[in-house]
Amino acid sequence: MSRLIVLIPEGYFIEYFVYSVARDDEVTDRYHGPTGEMCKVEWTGKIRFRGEGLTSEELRKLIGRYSPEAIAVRLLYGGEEFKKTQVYDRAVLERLKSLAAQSPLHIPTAVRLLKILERIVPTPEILLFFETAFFANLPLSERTYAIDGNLPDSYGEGLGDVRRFGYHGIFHGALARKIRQKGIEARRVLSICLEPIPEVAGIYDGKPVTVSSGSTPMEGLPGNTTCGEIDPGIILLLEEKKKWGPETINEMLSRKSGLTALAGKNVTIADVVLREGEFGRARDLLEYRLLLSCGAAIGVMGGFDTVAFSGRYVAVADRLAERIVPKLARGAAEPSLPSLFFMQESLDRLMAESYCRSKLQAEIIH
Amino acid sequence: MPSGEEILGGEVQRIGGRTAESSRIVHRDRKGESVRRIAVSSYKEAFTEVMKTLASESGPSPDIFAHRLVQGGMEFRSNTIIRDDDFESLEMIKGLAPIHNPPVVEIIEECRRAYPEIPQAVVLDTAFHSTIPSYAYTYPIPSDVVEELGIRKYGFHGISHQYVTGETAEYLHIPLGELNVVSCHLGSGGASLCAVVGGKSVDNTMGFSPLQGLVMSTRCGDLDPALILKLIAYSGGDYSRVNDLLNKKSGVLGLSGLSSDIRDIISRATKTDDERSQMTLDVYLWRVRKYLGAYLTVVGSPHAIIFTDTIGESVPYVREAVCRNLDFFGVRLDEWKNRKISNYPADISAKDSRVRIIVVKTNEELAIAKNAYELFVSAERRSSELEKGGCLDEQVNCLNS
Repeated sequence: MSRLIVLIPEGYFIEYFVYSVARDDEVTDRYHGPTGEMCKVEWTGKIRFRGEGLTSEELRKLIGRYSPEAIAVRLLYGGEEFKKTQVYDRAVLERLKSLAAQSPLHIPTAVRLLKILERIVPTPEILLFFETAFFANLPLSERTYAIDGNLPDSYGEGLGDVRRFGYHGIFHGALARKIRQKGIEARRVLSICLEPIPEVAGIYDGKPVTVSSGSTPMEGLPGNTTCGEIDPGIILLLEEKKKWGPETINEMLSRKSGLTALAGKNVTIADVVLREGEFGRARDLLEYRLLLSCGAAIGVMGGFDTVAFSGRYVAVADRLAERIVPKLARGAAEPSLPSLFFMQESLDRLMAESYCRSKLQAEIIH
Repeated sequence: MPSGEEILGGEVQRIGGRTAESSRIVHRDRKGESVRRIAVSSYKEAFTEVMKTLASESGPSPDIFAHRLVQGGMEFRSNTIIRDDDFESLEMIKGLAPIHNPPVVEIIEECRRAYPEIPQAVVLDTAFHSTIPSYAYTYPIPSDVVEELGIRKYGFHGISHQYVTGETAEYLHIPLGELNVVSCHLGSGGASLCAVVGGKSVDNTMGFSPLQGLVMSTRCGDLDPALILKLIAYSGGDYSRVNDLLNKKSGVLGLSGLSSDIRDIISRATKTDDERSQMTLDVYLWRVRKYLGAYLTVVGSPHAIIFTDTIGESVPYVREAVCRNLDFFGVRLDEWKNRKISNYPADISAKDSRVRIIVVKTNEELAIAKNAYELFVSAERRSSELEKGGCLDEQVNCLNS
């Protein structure tokens, strides 16, 4: 038995998950074995950042205790630079650094983490999973904003690629693969990811053609505390009337808005869906916005065959599906209920499974 | 309204600022069009000149002046006859639509000064959207800010959406109160889609301001809020530069770098292999298709898709591209009918299309006149009730003054 550590950096902490994975010589058998389970989670926890941010001490302990053969790191943003899972090396680090201005909150933390890991563990393989990778090749008409094409030049280099991405690519990508693997007849999938910032993607023949998020996860659907799509005029108004700067507005739109603003207290999607009497206003708005996003995806895909749910709030997806799916189907000329698919796996498990599969594929190639 | 026929019409062009050509009044009557060149430096002056032109025609004098108000804010939420104490509110809403509202207020004030005996009505572009439900008009941001600044989706192009919806109900012989449609107002400047259920607006792609939604001639439409904040930060807090960028340099113009008119882009994209024009056209159409899909889903069982205004009425290419591959919704366009429209309204859907596709010529002036007529008649009715001893209604005051 060997081990894999999955690291998911969040705002001020890193979540870690220790997985036992099949050894190289076991992997083929286990993959086809009766349980089908390639990996098993043994231990999880959080490393909180102290005053000076991330330090190496706790990571060193963690890695010392479990001596993993590989470490999988979740990165939120990979821009156009990273279109698939990447094995870490020095050149990759340099490419990552070049994205810092495009994702100033995440990339610097990630770079710091990777430099620490590199110092602690020169031998195990470090794998980088990018949430944006699945969406790197979105169709041009979906990813392009209707603003000045020469914008980055006139506003300075740091602006980077101004285009739309999706930010839950690990979920959507795994879901597309699982649907195909199970032989479900579905060319057109409405993929609804229920995370703190939810996201709808339209997946056609396994590839995303539309997604609710934008150049950052702020655009699109409202989340637990994020506003989602709002009229650009509102931002200009806040600047003009309240004399607020970009940071103040950003703070309000990302931490004090969304379902929490509607409910008047801190809530999650799960609260809103389950306690409808209490949070009716928030639930109605969430459902309506999901309906619009799904409808838009149906519009560009010319219909849909399956509605699929994933994410940490997938447990409430059946309640949501009951209310939304009939409305999605009613626009159809020949109404028929689409098939439903619920993917229960957590983000860390999807990453661990992906690691095991890549090992298996390497075995086959050998 | 009795006949709804235009007796006289026209417009004053190039008011104010010095341009290559002088300002002029284009005047229409039953015999045709005539042009009078005359220097006018303000909207007030333009109005005075128009009234002179009308007087020389010795036609009937007006019973009411009706003004279009693009954005009435919280002060004006439905069409209304202007009362004396409304003038203060009119001052306050100037800033809500800095391009559209100030000239309207200027003319309303001039009307009152020159014709105090003639009543005036404001007909709102936002009034038709007052039926949008709260889950669709609410922006999920902190409620203190929402209340302080009156932030909500107002929606725009309501006069046009309402008019073409009414025309379609008549054309299809479906009672207005039962009609479900998606109305596509595709103008050469602004553009918006409207979801209509039971003859009432339930959503509009424009929001608090006319910036949200579709790709327009120079407006960006939907944009990541975080990207706007980034632009403000990168421009050193230069709010007016970003405002200018999103309102005047984005949309079709920003994408193409060539023209703000999608018709120019279509002709370049279809006749040359200019990639940027092709991309501009694809982005423009893609956004319309996304919202059309969204609104067909919201409406549920639509009777029709309506196309109207300059682009919607006169560019078959756009209608065809937007309606392509929508069999799922029961939408099938007849290519031949689409290209050979001789009369409006025109049904361009295929025989086996479950959803009708109707092209309607919008007529905002007529719609404004109809709305004003209704206000006038109901005010008159109330006034005569008052004479019979009914209760006092403030609205009547200005009619009697």
